[in-house]
Amino acid sequence: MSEQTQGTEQAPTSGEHAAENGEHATEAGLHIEKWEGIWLRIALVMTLVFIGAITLAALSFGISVPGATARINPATLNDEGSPFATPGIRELAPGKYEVYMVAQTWNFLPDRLEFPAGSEVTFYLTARDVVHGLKIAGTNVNMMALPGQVSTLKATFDTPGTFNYICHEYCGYVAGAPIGHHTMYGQITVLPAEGAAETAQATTE
Amino acid sequence: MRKEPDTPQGTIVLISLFLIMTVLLWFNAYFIVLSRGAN
Repeated sequence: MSEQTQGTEQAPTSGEHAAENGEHATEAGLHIEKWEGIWLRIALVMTLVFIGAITLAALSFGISVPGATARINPATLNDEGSPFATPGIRELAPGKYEVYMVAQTWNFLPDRLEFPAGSEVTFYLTARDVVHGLKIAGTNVNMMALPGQVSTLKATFDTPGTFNYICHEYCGYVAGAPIGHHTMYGQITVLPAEGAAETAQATTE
Repeated sequence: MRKEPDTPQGTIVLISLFLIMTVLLWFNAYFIVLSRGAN
């Protein structure tokens, strides 16, 4: 009985505290310290500037991220009619090319590409087995190669020279064998426009 | 009389450096991407 009496006495007491706290919070409002407010404003301005710069680059300079254009069954890559059955370069028009590329353990098909300077190249990339990546050093080309998905990205090669490309998603190795993720690479040669062959070339070693 | 807490000058210096480095490194990467041209 005594416990019940204490319990009933305590209930209104805690309710009173809640009411007091509520009144106190209402009177005080949301209080932000001086420096807390300054840092919040600085962080907000920085975020807006960064987002604005990215938007400007995307709209004004055409810089975009890779996209997925289609899905494809990895088991059908070699089927007749599949563009990946004969990976390589397709010339759409002078200076405009498409590259169909397959990433597989542990090489790229093709692993040698040659373009005249100024070429506009659209990459179509997929993987035959596991997740791979394509990073062309010194350019903005950085794509994922996923089994079952065709990734695409357009790039323009204006500067003559050689550009190595690598797999940048770890895709395994064979213990004791000299092959593996680290040997998965290729090379693009951009030839000076005046001395370049009429058409681009792709080879696989 | 209630005493205001001291201004945390060391914290302000460290966060200022952090913010300056963030802005510089971010724009460094941004201008590298722009210099490589459009995709």
